[in-house]
Amino acid sequence: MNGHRLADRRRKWALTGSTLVFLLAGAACSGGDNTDQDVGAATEDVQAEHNGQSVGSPLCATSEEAARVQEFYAETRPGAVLPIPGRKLNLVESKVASGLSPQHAVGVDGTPERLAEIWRSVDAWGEETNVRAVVSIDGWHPFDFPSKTPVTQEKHSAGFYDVYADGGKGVHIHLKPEDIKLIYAANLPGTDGSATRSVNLYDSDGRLVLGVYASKAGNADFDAAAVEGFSGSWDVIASMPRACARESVEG
Amino acid sequence: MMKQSKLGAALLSVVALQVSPAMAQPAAGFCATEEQKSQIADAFAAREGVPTMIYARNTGLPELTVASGLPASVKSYGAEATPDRVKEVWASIDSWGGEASTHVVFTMGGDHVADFPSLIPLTQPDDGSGFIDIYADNGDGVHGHVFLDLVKAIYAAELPGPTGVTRMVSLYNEDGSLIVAIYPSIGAKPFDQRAIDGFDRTFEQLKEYAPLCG
Repeated sequence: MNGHRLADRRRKWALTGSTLVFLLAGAACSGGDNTDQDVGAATEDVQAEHNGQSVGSPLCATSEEAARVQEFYAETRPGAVLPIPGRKLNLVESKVASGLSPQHAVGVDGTPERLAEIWRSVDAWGEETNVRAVVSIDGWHPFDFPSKTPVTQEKHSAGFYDVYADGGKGVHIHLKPEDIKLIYAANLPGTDGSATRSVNLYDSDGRLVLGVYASKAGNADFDAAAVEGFSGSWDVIASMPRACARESVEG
Repeated sequence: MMKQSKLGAALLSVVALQVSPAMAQPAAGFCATEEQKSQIADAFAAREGVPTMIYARNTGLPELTVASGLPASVKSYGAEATPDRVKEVWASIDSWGGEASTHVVFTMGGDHVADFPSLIPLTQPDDGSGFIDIYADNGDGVHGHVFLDLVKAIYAAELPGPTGVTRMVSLYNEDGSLIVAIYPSIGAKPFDQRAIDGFDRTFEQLKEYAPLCG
């Protein structure tokens, strides 16, 4: 119910948002090297062999939307965190993630089993590892928390998948597995050799439920263990059937 | 001066231009009916003194409706939000103290819950973007950004339970769902007395505004 209202609201905003692309695209940057791009290239073929259930879903970017997302990252803001093109291109964040090129993102349709498997790979980043936990309520109210890695609990609250940080002294997150519809890892090169690396969960409206950021482009203040762990999560997601495949863009 | 959040700063410029006050809808439409109050009372009786999103989940009602329909035995008060009121209420939360511990809570669409322990996120200088920026721990903690025009109601409540008292100050959006809540105490969890004392002041300040629901 709430999602329908929000979708209506987004449609109302669409006209204004489209004009913002031109107003706010002034901070164009040139592309840069990314030492992690080979991670994406190595897994592209594996995911391309599979099509997930989400193909054609309204949560997935169309070919035209994907082209806009990829142009944004190539020419306007390399390495930007995912909510930013969501605003500038007026796309729900799942369309941004699914519109990225395969060397920059791998995604899978969410199922409770996949959520558990993928989050176990996040657990492997290490419970003492520093990350950023990001929520963006309705896409309009962003909160960015420093945190230790939220790790899977031995016992879960009824109906939830529980991840807590810092031995229970940090954040307590209760995820409703049935409402996690897409899961993406994104590795977005910045202009200076750095990259924005994140694992993101999206709900049935394509909104961000939770993002765990291992690093942000242009910010040298990150935990190397998180970056190393992120590569493992990328590989896990890349080994699963690919969500939101688009033949016309990715051939 | 606190550190700037790159994520937040980039978002602010865009959202400020995208949202129009003309989209406002009255929050009073979410006030609980007598039938809904009965549902909420049943949910409260079944599990006293827990965070309000649990009653919302158990009744299927928007959390704002739950906040407006809590039993009379519960100390609660709500008002329509305006940008100025949100800033005033958060200035009151600032007075709890930047060293005071609290919980910052979200429900991410209503189905999920995240409870972040945090020092009080304090109001940052108003840059005219239409947001209130709230950062904790001198910028080393959370960086939060709330778009003021999208906050439609503010509620504070003190819910006694068998293991302790749960207290919250919550901001709601136009569909009655939670934007963000500050919980100075949750049941039996340890709490900071400075936050409890501050909550009482914020509750009294909120009462200076006309009640959202009659």
